[in-house]
Amino acid sequence: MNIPVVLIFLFVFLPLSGGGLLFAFPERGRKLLPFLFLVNSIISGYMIFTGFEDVLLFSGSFGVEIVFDPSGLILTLMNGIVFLSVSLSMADRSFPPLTMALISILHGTANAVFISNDLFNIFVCVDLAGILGFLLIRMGRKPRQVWSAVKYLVTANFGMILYLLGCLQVYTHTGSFSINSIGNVPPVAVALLLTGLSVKGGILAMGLWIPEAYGEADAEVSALLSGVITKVGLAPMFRIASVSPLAHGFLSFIGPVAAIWGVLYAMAEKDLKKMLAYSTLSQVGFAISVPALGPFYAASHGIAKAWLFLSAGNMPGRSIEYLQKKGVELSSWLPMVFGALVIAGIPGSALYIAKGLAMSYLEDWRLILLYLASLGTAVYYSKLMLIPPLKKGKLIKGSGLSHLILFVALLAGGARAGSYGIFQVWSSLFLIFSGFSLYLLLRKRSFPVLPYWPEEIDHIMGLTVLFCLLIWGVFAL
Amino acid sequence: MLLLTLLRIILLGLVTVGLAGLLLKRNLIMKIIAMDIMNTGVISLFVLAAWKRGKAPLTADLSIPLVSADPVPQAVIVTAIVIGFSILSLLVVYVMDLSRYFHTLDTERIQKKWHR
Repeated sequence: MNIPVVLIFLFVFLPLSGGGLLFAFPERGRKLLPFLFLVNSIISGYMIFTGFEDVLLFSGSFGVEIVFDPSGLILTLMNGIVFLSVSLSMADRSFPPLTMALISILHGTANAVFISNDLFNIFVCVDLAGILGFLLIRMGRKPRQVWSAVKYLVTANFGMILYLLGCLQVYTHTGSFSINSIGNVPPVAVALLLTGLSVKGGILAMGLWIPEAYGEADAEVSALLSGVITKVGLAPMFRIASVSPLAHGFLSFIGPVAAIWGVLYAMAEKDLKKMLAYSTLSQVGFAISVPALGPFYAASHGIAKAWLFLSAGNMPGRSIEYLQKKGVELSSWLPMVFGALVIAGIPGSALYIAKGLAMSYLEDWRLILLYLASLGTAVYYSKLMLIPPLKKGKLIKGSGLSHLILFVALLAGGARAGSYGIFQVWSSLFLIFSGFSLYLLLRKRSFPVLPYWPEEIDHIMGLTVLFCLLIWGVFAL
Repeated sequence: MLLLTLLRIILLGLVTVGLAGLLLKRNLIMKIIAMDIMNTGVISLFVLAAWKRGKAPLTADLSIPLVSADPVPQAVIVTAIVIGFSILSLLVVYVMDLSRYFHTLDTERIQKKWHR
């Protein structure tokens, strides 16, 4: 039996064709879909466990290169887990009939991005994921959603045009679209590729479509967007950075800056879902600071953020002040507080390990910036910890299973020997505690609000162009 | 060679025109058209890149030196054309929707209404 072919059948072919079938039979397929996600996450987990690695070249020379390695498989594992829990939590609500089909296709597309090592194949899959994300954002058909979706598609497509130009540069210089050949292409190609992808991945000003899109979409869709679609932009970046020293230098330079920048936005935000969206902008910065560890960080963050968005969907309101006054039921309070603690990096969770590993690789000013950003993360997540739980209500409601899956996944990610030295545990606990007390001190004052204008559609695209020129200039020096 | 350079300059100019329209026009329809112009420019650049390296096609008799275009960029760019077209059509449909809700296609006005 040819293992890579079976894997591609399960990861990509089955979700894509199943999505097509779901258009025809929406009701019958709905119940089967979670099983597919379950099988995919179990298989990717097993493959990581056994250390499976393989390369497959589809149809000879100039073919599409598919790579199975731990950094891709961990993202497919995350993909399976997030989709499993989202589809479970969607089971007891009513959605437009085509939603399930779109979700199935998105799962296959995201898997295809995570395992492919070919620039053009990545372009096609990332663009497809963008279209599916667009259709999912506007699902509720509210006018506000339609505008955020259009804004997302215009900026994302603009990014992909830049990416396409980068692909062209790579092809004319190397005669191939394989990422492996990207080591010594001219700087302009790397600059274009990275800028194009960072619109999707949500890095600095290029990702400013994120707050509106995540804030307006339905909670389940936000979970998918933040858990998977952002990672669709990040995964190729990690692959490029592993080959090209230019890209590696760029990502590790921009990462800590993006982390602290997202924190500044999130601290001032008063809306729960938008705060989570800004937090994504900041966490992406953490993930790209050490590109070699990026996939693990991105996967843990995807799961944690999906959890937070799912629990945000069960809240009675969106304003944090209102929630702090009224309190929320225990069944949504528990996942929210746990999720907040996980992202702040509490020992025992996957993000604690990821943060610890990333920081152990850095030393200079980047380490200081990342420490500051972790402190800031603890400060703004303290807003959620001050929401009081209500005694009434059941402990577990309808979608309890999906919360349980995410919780177990985060705990399993945290099981790594050697990361629990006294100093590390205490320093992370100290960071969370000091963030909490800092928030209590500063609570009565208002945080400085960053300007809104960069979030306007023209400015996102303009800043993207500027950014591309800037990287090119720096690389060319 | 002169023709090639000239064509490349013209196409890069086309991409720049599209970019300028995308950034400067406030009307959403104009933005979408500018985006399509930019996309077309990039696609034509791919076709031009195929011209540069002459390789015999797969079925050709290798004993006769044939000058022909590289098939790979042309083969892959077809996908990009299809994607560009589908995104364009999706955007036009939803921009129609937007105009019904906001009664304008001016991005600044929509954003002002949105932000309130």
